[in-house]
Amino acid sequence: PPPAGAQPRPVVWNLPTVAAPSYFHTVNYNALAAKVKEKSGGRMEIRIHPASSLYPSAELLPAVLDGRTELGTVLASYLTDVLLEIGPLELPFMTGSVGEHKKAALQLRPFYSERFARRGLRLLSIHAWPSQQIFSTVPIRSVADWKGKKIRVYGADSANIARLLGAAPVNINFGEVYSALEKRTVDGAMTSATNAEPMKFFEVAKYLDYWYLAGAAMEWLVANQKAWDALPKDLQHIVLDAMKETNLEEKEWQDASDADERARKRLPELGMTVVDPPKEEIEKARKIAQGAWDIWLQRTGADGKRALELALKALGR
Amino acid sequence: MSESALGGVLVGLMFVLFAAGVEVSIALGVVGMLGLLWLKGFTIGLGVVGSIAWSNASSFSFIAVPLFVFMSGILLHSGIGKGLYTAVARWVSFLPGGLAVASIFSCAIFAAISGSSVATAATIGLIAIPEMERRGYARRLIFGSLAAGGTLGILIPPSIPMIIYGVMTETSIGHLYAAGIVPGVVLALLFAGFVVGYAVLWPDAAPRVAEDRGGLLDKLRSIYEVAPVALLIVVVLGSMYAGIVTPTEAAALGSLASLLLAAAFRRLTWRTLRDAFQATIRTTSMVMLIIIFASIFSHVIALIGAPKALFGLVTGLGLPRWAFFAALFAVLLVIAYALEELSVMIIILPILFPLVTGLGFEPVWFGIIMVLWLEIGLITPPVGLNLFVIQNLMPGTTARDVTLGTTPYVVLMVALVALLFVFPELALWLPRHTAPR
Amino acid sequence: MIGRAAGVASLLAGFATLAIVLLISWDVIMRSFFDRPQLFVDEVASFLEVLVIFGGAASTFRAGGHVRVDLITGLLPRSARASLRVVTLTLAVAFLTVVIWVTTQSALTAFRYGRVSAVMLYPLWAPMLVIPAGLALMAFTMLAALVWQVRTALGPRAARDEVAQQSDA
Ligand code: NA
Ligand code: NA
Repeated sequence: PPPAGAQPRPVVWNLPTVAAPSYFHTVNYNALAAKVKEKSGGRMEIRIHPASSLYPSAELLPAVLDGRTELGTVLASYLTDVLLEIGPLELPFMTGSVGEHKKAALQLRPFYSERFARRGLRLLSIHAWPSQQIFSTVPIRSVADWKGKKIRVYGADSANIARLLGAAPVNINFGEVYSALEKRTVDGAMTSATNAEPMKFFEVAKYLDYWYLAGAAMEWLVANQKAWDALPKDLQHIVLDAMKETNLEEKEWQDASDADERARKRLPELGMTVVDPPKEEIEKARKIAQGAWDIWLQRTGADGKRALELALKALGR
Repeated sequence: MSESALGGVLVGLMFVLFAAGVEVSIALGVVGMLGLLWLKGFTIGLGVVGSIAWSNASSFSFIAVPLFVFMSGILLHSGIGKGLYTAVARWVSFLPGGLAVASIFSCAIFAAISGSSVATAATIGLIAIPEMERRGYARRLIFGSLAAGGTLGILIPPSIPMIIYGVMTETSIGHLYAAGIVPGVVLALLFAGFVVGYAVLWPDAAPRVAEDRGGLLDKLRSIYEVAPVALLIVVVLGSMYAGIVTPTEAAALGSLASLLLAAAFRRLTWRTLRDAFQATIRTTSMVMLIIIFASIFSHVIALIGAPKALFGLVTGLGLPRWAFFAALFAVLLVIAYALEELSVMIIILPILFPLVTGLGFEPVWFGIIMVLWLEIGLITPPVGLNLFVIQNLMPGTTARDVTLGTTPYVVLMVALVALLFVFPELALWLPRHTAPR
Repeated sequence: MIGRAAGVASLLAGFATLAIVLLISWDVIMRSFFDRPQLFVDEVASFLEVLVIFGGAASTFRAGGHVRVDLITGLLPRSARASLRVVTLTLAVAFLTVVIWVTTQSALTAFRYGRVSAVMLYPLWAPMLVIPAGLALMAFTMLAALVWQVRTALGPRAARDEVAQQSDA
């Protein structure tokens, strides 16, 4: 037994995330951890592991499913298999802004909770990354401009959309994108607009084409249900209260939206040209992109069909 | 047992296992696994092993390692690589320790193709070692020049660790690449200078062989012998800088070119292929098993929150800027001796980076410091991947050869770190002035 | 018998290397000259890489390629070295057995979850199984060395020492 007056060992939970150490997600998760520590009087500690330092991105979901990590962030971009059906909002051209994404995502909360629960996960909070756009060395203004372009993609969905629009998808590690753009190995790369400044993409790709492939990319904060159940009741409340007091969910969406706006304002200052394709071109692309939706529906079956209906309803379409 | 005590016990146990002669990879894996069992138990704790093994083994960043070793294996076993060295030996015969100097510059040139130090050391070592051994070079000189020369692979762009650093910290990889060039050249010159000095002081360590002397005619004729391999390097390097291929693809292209070259000289036999296979597999399997099992241990270090405690300690001292940096690097140096650093870097960067940049250090500059630290780790015993790579190519090397052979280079690298602290522009000037506008 | 199996596995690993070379070169040529990048190449190449690493693990052991620190053991009397090697080989085999178990579990979990690769959606369980398979071969090879080592350690005093690996190179 511990000597009288000694502190018992604190409960330590781990939260791995893909976000860089200074990125807003990490900042917000750190604030949550600090709040939990404060409210529990040091009885509970949440260790944040940013920049995929604990698990590589693709291994994160299996880790929280298995309970190897108590908390986890589930990224829409890495939904290649398990839980694929929770990503209807991530389908290409489904939403056109962070705001629109948020509106629909929060309405889908019961659906998300239910799907996560079936996998033994407890949904805590719904977050977002900024919108997905295309950096390019030549402007891509119209659907015709896509034709024959070599475009770096990051997953099956982005590969499908590139192919459907007549481009040639190329699989290049995110770390090699800068060089690939600089040396024109590829004509463009799909990724978040907010990468332009920190990764210095503006130096090697002069155009940022705002096609809004996705208005935002979602991230769900989940806990392993077994780990949650093993947590003393009062600590459970402390975690939930800390989330409320740090205003976590609201702040996440606000930060994503701010980051998007800031990037857009900053790009011309960095010497980049912002390309806004005409509405009818985006509409045209959206129609073509239905092919990618069909592929997704085939893979997700009845669950996907229901999810898509819910998503469209939430978007008022 | 407290978490920090657990960390200490595991590191201690690791050294015991090394001393007992357990395979390095397995020793690392055993302590990592014990840590997992202690922290999380069998069912939950060990699940991560599968995850780590899979993600490392299937990682695209490591593919260049087998490919470059394969390329070198084909060049060596087809006999084409020998011509290269005969020629180089002729041209550098005037220089004391000429072949070791040539090895270092070969590494520097190859570093411009390869993003991995292990690949650089293995590729150049495979061809250079037999030639240096044949000419009676001292083992410690051979060992040091190749193990240390190989580390240039990650300082001179392209560089896999720079990519990892850039992605993890959101630092421009292009700027990191540019920042590595000047320190890379300086380091190569420092290494070469050391070798020349050593050979002047101990001429027996680098004997001059009659066959390498020769008139201008011999030298000119030797250019012809170099031509095929030089062409190969130009093609691979050129295709990379022209943007036709990415660095990883350059490795494959280099292998293809070496196969075509061997075929053109009618030297592509089944035996050549089989020997090249064997060289490839041995280096790759050994190195990757160490990287994978070391990652398990690093995972444990991350779970117990050791980096935060350790670096918090250094920050808490309230030292002036230079002393803080010196203390920090001293801690890193200890880690460099004890552990496999690439997996450690992934664990410590998220904690270290905000701390260091918060104190006003430049992110790109610190990236170069990290790379130099990794380089030191690659040639410091007991766990230094480049040491193992060269050891495998030179069976019978003693621990004494290894330690004495590489320590001078460690000193030179630490000196470069100090130099970079005093003159950060050494790294930062080039990216500032060449970044595309 | 085990030597034969290790040799076959290492040959597979060798051809996997060659296959990576050819596949990536094919991708480069198709992308540069025909504007038709071969999207499948990256993921197939990374699967083959797993085969290079683990297919070669056993034969690398046989060739004495998995490095060890011999600073201390080199100073021991030969009979002590023989006994110590029995201990270290036993530890290694035990460790590998656990790793084989957990990596097999990992592959089975991937099968249950239906895990697939990011771009081409290839099922991951099959290449994942290469890991325990390769390690099992390595463990058997080490077990054979252990048996040999035990015999030596218990044999005539004069002949006691660490048993050198049976390299087929
Ligand atoms: Na390099
Ligand atoms: Na080391």
